[in-house]
Amino acid sequence: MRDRADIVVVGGGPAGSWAARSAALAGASVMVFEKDREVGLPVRCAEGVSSGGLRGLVEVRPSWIAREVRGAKLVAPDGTVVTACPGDTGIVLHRKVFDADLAAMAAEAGAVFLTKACVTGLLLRNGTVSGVRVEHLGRVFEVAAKIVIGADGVESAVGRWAGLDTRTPPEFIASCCQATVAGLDPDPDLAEFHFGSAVAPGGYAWVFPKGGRTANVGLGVPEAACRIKKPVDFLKDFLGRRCPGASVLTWVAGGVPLCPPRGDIVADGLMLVGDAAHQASPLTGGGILNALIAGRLAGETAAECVRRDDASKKALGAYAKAWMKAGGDEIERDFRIKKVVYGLSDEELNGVARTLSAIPEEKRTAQAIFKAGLFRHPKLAFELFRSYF
Amino acid sequence: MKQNVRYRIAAAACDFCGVCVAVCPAGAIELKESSVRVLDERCVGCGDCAVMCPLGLPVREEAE
Ligand SMILES: Cc1cc2nc3c(=O)[nH]c(=O)nc-3n(C[C@H](O)[C@H](O)[C@H](O)COP(=O)(O)OP(=O)(O)OC[C@H]3O[C@@H](n4cnc5c(N)ncnc54)[C@H](O)[C@@H]3O)c2cc1C
Ligand code: SF4
Ligand code: SF4
Repeated sequence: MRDRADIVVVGGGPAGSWAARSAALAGASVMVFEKDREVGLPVRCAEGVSSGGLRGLVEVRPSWIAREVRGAKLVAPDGTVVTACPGDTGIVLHRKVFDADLAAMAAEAGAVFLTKACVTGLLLRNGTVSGVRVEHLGRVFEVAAKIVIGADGVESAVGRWAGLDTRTPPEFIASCCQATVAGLDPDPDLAEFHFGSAVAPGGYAWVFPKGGRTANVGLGVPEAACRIKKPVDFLKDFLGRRCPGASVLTWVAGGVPLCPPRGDIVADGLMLVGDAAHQASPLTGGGILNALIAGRLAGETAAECVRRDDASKKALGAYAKAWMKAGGDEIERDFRIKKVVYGLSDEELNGVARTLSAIPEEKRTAQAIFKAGLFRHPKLAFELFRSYF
Repeated sequence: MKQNVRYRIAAAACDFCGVCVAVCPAGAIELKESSVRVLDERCVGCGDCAVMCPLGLPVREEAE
């Protein structure tokens, strides 16, 4: 193992691999350290992405796709079902394969990966990040770097080590549990979203079909719900209701940051990307696409800064600016909508569902849905108005 | 650490998901591939980890 690289990336998720690939393609020497045994596992993710969104960022391989869905089925607390097909399809990924392929693509571009390699601290020189300390199979070693990219997920420690306040306070995180189950009968063409205080108060539960009779069944809830009951117990109840008798093949715990936009994601010699930089949508919790978008921006800026031999916070700030331009507005909008949507009572949710089901399905575009929301629910109307116009 | 209060995590039941680490205001939880522990000297006893853990694992202990 070399003891230095231009750029060290901490974490081999989508954000890390994509940053590594972009930097390597731009000519930098890159090393990636991943603490887990295998890139892509465990899968702490419902694996849903917009098809158009993903295809716009990377050439999608058939082996990544577990199932393509044509729309969503929204289930209100009183059982009212609204089907919505926005035009674009959704992809339920095999993230194990997807993440491993992104890493392989980065490696093909020249990045060097090491798994079972936990970064336990940063090296600092005159207040500038200058490398990492790595623990690998019982051995500890140091690797010097001109720039360290923290792509270490929701549990990110890298930013904090460099003095950035990247804590995700309880009000800005969804606590999640998910089971991959076999032996249920999901609609193979629709992703299900369930709302309401009995299922996931202040959040939602999902059933994403993975082909055949399998699906990802999970939920995410905010702090107030966690104080009532643990997410794992909400999930047990939901599984009992939605798919009694189904077998649980895998289950995982996890969390998604649901934060306002964050521009404070660089320091001298350091950049943060992906969940570590709170780049997931605070409305849906989806973070895969933003991890790729920001990963690329981070990798390109890092390589450019290495070339110019300037890894100062100011120089790396070009990445923070580019990210805020690419994703900041959407995160801001989603954050505002989230506050309204997840604050609706069961009765209000039922009302929204009834209004929506009165719109003919073929006319149920995102716009029509929002208009109906506007019409019936002034609170929602106000925020949506502020968000869109 | 607050007087006489400690938080413990039963590593055998843990999924190593990192939610507790994300919410901890004190950087007091050390998580690796298959180990997790609270660093008593840093913990401020706020209990955020216990509230937000998807499995409810961190528990408060009153020391003598
Ligand atoms: C239950 C759940 C469901 C979700 N569903 C969806 C969905 O349907 N669609 C969607 O778009 N998003 C979803 N998300 C969010 C999505 O999973 C994340 O946004 C995405 O994985 C972020 O990518 P990342 O590369 O930033 O982080 P991660 O994928 O979390 O990767 C971070 C990596 O860093 C490694 N690491 C951490 N610390 C260290 C260290 N010290 N040393 C070395 N390595 C380290 C970790 O092991 C991990 O592999 C979901 C999240 C959860 C929890
Ligand atoms: S939040 Fe709970 S399950 Fe996740 S790592 Fe912490 S103690 Fe373990
Ligand atoms: S009680 Fe608070 S300070 Fe202590 S480990 Fe838990 S979250 Fe951190």
